[in-house]
Amino acid sequence: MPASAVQDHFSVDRVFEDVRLEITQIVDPAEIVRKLAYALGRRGVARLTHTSDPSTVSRWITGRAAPHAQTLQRIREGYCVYETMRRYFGSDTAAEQWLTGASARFDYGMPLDALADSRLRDVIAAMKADIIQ
Amino acid sequence: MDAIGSHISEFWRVGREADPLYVPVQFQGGPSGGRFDDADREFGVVYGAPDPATCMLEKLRSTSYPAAGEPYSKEPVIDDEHLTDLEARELEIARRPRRVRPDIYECVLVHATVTTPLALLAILQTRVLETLGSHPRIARLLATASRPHLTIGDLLGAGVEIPQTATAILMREVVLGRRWEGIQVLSTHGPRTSYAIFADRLRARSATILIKRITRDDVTLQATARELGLEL
Repeated sequence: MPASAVQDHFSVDRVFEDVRLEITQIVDPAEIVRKLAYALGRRGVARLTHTSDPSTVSRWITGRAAPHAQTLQRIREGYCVYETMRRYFGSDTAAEQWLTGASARFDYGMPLDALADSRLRDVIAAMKADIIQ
Repeated sequence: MDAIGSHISEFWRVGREADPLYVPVQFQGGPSGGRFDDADREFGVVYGAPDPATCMLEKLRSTSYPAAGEPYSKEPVIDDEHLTDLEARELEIARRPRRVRPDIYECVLVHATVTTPLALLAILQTRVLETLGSHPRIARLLATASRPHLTIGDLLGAGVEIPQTATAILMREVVLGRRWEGIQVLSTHGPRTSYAIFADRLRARSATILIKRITRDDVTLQATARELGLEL
């Protein structure tokens, strides 16, 4: 998408806010975890939430356990970022690989790790930079 | 044939200079192909170790696919429709070709200065790796790598072939004395050589960066070894 189009019609902030509002409507934690796990895999969710055992994510998905509120918030943020990128890129693969790939904006670490470290603002800034670039 | 368990002491892995053993999440576990940000599979990774079996194990371990009928995840299968769907999805994610902007390639290249003769193994073709990794014999060995006497013969037994000649890698002595520096890679694409531990698929390549030497007491190496059932 041309930079001008992005800036004029679909600002990152606006899309992100749309996604955030959508995800807010989902009250079942299992469904939120499931959506992100479907996007990144359980290992991705585990990494985002500093969960050592991916089977814990499985238990969240099946409703046998529920993530802590702060963990759930991290998952919501992760999904918002993923979905925002997916809408811009038009590809779930591109969105997933943007989150889990090395980024020069994070010293060649992953945006996913930055999210895990509560750096949502930095990740949004990186999103904007990469989309408009 | 030498056993891995008694010989693996150090190995060198291509990766980020600051943390060569760091593996992004998409390459952790599961049937993913490639290493690090080898997004477009433009680079083949050459592994160095004191013996070729270690190289082979290391290489295939990072690129193996489950044998037909075997589950992707080692987790206990939970009878839940969501997880069944998810397993299929995770397999799809893991098999996606990676896409990383080329501008970071140079940043993940890690070249070596070695002081010990190493056996190096270069299998550059993804197709070959996938074929080997999904071979029932290899898959079984990788799943039970805790055997103390795993040998290169075990890895390359009857019925397993590498249809590529790419193991002829030498080190070049560039300084008088016993210091070895650089790794001479015999290109598989012609009579060319380069001095990089990364071997470009399309052309010979030369560069000089640094590599962290992974020693026996490295925490990540120890964890990897434990996972493989190896004693360091």
